[in-house]
Amino acid sequence: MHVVIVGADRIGSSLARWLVSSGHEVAVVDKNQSKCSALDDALGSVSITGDATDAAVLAQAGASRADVLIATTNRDEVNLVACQLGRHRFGVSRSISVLNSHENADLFGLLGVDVTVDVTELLLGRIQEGLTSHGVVHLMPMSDRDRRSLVSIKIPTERGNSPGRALKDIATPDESIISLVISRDGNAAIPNEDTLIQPGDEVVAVTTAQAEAELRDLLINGFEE
Amino acid sequence: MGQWNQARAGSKRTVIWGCDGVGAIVAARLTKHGHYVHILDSRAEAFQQLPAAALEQGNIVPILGDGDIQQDLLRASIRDSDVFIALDSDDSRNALAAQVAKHVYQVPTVICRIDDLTMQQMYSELGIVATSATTLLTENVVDVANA
Repeated sequence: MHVVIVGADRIGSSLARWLVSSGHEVAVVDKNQSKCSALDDALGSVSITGDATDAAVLAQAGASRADVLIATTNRDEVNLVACQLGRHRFGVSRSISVLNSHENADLFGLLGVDVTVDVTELLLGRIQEGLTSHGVVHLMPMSDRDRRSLVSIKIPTERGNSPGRALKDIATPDESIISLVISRDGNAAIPNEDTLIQPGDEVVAVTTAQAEAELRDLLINGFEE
Repeated sequence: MGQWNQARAGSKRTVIWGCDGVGAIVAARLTKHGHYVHILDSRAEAFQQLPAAALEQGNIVPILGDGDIQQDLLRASIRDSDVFIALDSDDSRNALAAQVAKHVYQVPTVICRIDDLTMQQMYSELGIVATSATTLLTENVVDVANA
């Protein structure tokens, strides 16, 4: 696979390292000469010094034979233009972009960027996960229209002696679909109505933002005396 | 600030981003054609170039902010506008702002300054009116020389 990476900052350079070590061909475009040199020292000559919104620079990076273009700079406008040039000028079939400002998420999707990675949202999710032991962890947004997400809810182990409750006895909200139950010994199962939810289990569900707290309370509070 | 002047029905409501020489002149000229103009710039001093009379009458309203930030566009009432013009000096920022206006806020007419010729052509093909001083000058010179 030939991958064009835009941006040689932390994300871009780590990505380049990983792709090269997985046996892929990589070209990294960055305006900054010293960042490019550092990358070349580590990985061989992979860098092109220049502006990724300049078609001539993308051509030099082999965009016309690239399978994927991945834009990782901290400027949304650069990422968007690079993805659009890749697609419309070089026929790159797949583009992935880091998103710096959440408000641009819809636009990137509308304009055909295949995958957007919202760094701030990811960080927030991880921090929330660290802050709340009983909380809802956001794994992935599912659709922008009704704001459904794939979430994970960990049933606390404090009530270790509880025998568990069958899913059919838990009145989960209509907007939520329990998709997977991972038991505390690590076995994952697609649940049915008789599946027991027990302390230490991890419940993976698709839910709307509104139904999220209700779902969590129903799953977790059921174990409290 | 940010609400459209309701004095005359049927007037076009135009949001301009960039109040350097060109932006200020475009704003002044459009008000002569009856437009109401909301003009965005992140540098307050840029607004000094706007004609005092149009400012007093409320035909031009300066708004501190950037056209590639949706919060600022909303403060400039982008939702109810007829025309959006991006005249910043950065091609990529203009392209982002223009596409936000066209695709997120469905502004009917979107015009955008793009100096890079490859980008200019691509965005023209994508339905944005993209232009630059170089393009206009070239056309003008060729037209006159060829007349």
